[in-house]
Amino acid sequence: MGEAIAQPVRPVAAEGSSRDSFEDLYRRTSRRVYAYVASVLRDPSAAEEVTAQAFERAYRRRATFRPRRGSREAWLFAIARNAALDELRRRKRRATLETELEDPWCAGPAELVEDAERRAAVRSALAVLEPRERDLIALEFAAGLGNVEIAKVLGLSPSNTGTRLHRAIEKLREACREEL
Amino acid sequence: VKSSDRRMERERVEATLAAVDAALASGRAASHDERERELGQLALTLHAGAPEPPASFAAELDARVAAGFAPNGDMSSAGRRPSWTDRMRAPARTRTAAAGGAPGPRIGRPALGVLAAVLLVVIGSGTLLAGLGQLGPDQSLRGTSQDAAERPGSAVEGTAGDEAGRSVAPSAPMTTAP
Repeated sequence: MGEAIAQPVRPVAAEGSSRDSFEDLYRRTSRRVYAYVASVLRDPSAAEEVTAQAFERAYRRRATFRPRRGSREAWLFAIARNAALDELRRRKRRATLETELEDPWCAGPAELVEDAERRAAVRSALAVLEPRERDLIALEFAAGLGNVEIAKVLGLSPSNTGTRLHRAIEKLREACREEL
Repeated sequence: VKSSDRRMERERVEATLAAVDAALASGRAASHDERERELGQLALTLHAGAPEPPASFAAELDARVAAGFAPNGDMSSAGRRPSWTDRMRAPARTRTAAAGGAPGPRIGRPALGVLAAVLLVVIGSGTLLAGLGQLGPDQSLRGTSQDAAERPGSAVEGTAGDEAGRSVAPSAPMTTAP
């Protein structure tokens, strides 16, 4: 891989106060929830439906949120993850009727040729990941969550989450080296 | 697994996550270490390539959130005024609401029945009176003064006694001639 590239920083996982309204949470996370869901489902059209479903579920259950169990973002992304998994189960049942979907992750145009090549390599490398690894990578890079929040979403310890994330990233890096 | 191996593994994990975090925080992958630089570039590429929601979808979802996810509002029908066919398919009681208006006062079925009965009586009476107006002069229960003059022996307000030959002077006309 070549020179460093300047890109937007990781989205600030601003938690906000406990009096944070649902709309504040929505404004902070809507793009990232869509990005995460689309990365997991690999289907932009289904991602729209599932994202809307996730926010509606969160809205209806907002009174059930308990701060001692984790952050509001972790709670929201757990809801989004469950909605995405429901969709994957439904899709598995009708899998024989569907064709292979195009992965939307790293599919957009890049300004530089080098970036475009790197994106293509990463996109190919993503295909070698197991669904659980891809889920971890999506929570880290598309959802922009930190390790502690990812651990809450997955119901794992932060230490275990860090180890799994490290292995998934290393696997992806190795796959990228082979592509480039 | 030896404790030294575990320690080395933990250090590698921490180094990986630190390289990723540093790249995402700064937006650059400028480490002198090749592995760390590759990890940073990978992190930035994954982050920059995250799927973006279409503008139309984002606007639609914004509206739904602002509306507090109104009942029965799926993404396909949110914010859409119900069509004429939608309103016609809806039960009568909900049509007004479906059209976007407040439901009007409900009229009970008994009241409608009474109204219909009154209308029938009024129409029936009108028909009867109109029919009587078309009867012949000798069948009329009510004549004019002229009728009475032309028909001696007939009563203006006819009674059975007229037929007995009792002469009754015509009274003042009760109706006016046309």
